[in-house]
Amino acid sequence: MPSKAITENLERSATPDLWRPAREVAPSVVRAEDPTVARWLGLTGLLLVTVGSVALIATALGRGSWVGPIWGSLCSVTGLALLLFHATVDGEVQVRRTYGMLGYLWLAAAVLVTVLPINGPPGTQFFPYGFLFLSLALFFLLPFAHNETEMAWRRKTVAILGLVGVALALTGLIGSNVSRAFLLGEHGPYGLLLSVLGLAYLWAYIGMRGTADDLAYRAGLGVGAVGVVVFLVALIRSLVASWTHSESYLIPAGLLLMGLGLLYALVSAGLCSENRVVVLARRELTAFFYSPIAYIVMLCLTLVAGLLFYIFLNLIIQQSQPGETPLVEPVIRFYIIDWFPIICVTLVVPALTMRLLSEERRSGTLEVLMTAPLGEGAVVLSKFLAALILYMVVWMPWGLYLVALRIQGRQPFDYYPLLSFFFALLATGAGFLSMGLFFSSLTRNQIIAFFLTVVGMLALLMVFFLKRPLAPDSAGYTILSSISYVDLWINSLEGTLSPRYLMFHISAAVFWLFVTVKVMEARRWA
Amino acid sequence: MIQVENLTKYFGPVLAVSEVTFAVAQGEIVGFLGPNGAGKTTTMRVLTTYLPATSGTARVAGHDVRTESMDVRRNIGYLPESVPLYAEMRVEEYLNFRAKLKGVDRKQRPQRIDYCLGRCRIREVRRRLINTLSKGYRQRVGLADAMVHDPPILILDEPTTGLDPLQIRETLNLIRELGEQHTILLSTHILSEVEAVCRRVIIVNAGHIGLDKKLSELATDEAVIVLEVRGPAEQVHNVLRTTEGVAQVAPQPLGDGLVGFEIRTHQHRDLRETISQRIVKNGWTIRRLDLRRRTLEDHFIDVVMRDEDAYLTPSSELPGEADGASSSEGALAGRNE
Repeated sequence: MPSKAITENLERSATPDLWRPAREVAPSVVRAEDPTVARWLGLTGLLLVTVGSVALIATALGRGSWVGPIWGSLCSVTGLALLLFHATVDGEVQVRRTYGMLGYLWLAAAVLVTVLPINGPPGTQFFPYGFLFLSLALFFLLPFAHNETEMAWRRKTVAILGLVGVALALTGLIGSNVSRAFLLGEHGPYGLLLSVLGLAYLWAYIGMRGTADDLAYRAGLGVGAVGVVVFLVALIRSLVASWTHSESYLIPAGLLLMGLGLLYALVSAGLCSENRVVVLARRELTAFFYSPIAYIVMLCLTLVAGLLFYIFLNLIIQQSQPGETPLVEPVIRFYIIDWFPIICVTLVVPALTMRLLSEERRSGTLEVLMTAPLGEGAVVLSKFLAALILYMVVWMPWGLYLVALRIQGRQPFDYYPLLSFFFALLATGAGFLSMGLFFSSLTRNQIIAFFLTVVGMLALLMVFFLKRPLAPDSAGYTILSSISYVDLWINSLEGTLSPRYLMFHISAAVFWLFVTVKVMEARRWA
Repeated sequence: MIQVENLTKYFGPVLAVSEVTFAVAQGEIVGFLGPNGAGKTTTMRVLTTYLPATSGTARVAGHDVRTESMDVRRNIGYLPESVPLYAEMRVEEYLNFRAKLKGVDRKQRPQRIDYCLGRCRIREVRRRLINTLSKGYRQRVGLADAMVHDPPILILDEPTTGLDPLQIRETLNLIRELGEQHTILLSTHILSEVEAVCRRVIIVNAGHIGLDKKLSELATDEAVIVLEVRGPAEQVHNVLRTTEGVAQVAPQPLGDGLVGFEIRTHQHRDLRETISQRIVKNGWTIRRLDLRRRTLEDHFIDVVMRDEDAYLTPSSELPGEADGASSSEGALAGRNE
């Protein structure tokens, strides 16, 4: 009969345990599966690209084609997307090397198109073809480098990405500083595009090597340093120009260069910084893109933007008929101020913020988060920053349609209101998102957070209507028009933007963030 | 390393933890044992600075939990009962993220993560999404996360719930290995785990501590020699009573010519051989000679059952331990067969 006596630990460790821990095996047997679906999609993509490009080439050469240029471009784009999907999923040797070769071909084509004098002196075809080919090269080289298991090939490709990035970034930034026409000339915004593309290549380089690697880390720091330098140079030049009362440098070159410098600095900080807020914000952004919310929101906004763009174009065309009064610049306000964007923003903001803090509470991850050495302020700030970045990214489709208008219309239109609208969007976005974050912190249930935020957004919208019956010179009217975000948008799109109208929204953002931090801290009040 | 003094926690009107006082020295593995709802998780949450105490103090690694919570957090690795992880991340990505949050130096991060992956035996699943992992693997990822920044103290809340027997064994082995370099406070309600891994056990019930002793002390606890002899009851009783070192003899008639005895000795000496020699010398046969100690289970049930009476201060015995012991042993006597 076995004794139930308690044995001391010493006894037990003295006798070696005869049972050895099992060799670690993965929990389930992983069977390498043929990516059949991806291959079929890739094949479809190839077909579409062929059809589309033939149609586009035919149109360019002036011949007719069954498939019109619109369908041709749609086919090409869809085809390319499918090919990229296949390239990412299928890791088989021949497939990935083919895509790698394709990527290198795009790179070679880009270089040729820029360097050779086609339809003009060298460089004229950079916009749009060179830029397009360079982007495609990046898109196809990335999955190749990611899937490639042979280290030599991988390292070489990643190194080439880095070198191209450095070349593009330096050309773009130095060229833009030297010549304003290079930055944003009539042939196209070379400087801007080169700099952004260079940044994208460098981002790919640093991302593929990982910041644990010394070279990549230093490259990331370099990008940040360059960004800061560009920002400061642009700032100083704008100030000098305004002091000496010479031609304004700030708009648009100074502002754009400062924006570029800031972008470089932000990307560098995002990639290399070990700051807890940045680390948390980065994780939050990747989580956004894992859930379908980000994609659904972007899709809906693109569709709505497309609809509005269509209406806007009709309006322009109609108003430019003989006999009608043409639209007065700035025309952009007819594109953006309408019911749809208001409804969109009323629903998009709650959709983006509802899961931020309520999900953490519900799933219990708040417990491990708050027992790591971080303060509540860092957590709240990081979620706010991630939501703000995402918010600005989902508004991008609206801007892209305008780019199309610029290219197709071949006529410059007044885009300065876009810059002021950007700031208005940023400020109002900060106010809305911080309010949404607060409501998310109050409850575990995402739906409740959603509804509370919708109510908040509607209340802010109501301010615009409440102000109507009041007399324009009464105090109430002035107060309400400072609060109303619709007014702010309208004013910014008309080109008038004074910082004091942004103040309410920025202070509201600070207020909501403060209250959210206090709500989070309340858990630790005894 | 951990000093808790008069810790009390009320959740509204509910008293979850009441005047708990204990200490964990460096390098100890302490098992926090108790039925569900005893206050184990709450005490751990106070120690990891997740919740504030209503009254009392707690010091972890020399820092006060209330006023120096950041320092406390840097020195502990916590694994909550529900093992919450971000389901959409990959294992390696998650550990990288947590290592950055906890301030693991950039240059040492890859080696440290690799070490944790190997130690917790999750290398094979390093590229898998966390929501595709089973409970056992998730628990190991949680454990790897708790130790990624090499904290001196590990606080593990029920680290083996939901694991299969093989995984439980592996996890306990890992905890025992980690115990060589870290201080571990581990909560569970499975007694065999405590016996396998811990050096000291604290039994809590309904918010207060019922027992706080080293397992080795419990092992040298008062043991009872159980004897069954075929012989005349009175004479055997006399022989036993006159044996040197015997403190108390309690006879139990068994019928059929057998007599049973429960013998307690002075200073808990093991007098089995002396007694068997004397019995045999007198010509009687021994059917059973056993040393019965109180098991951990007995202690546990004791603590839980006597709660309606007095509360105990830790590391002290109830005065009526002998009587209480015999009655509970009587009740459990059948189990020793």
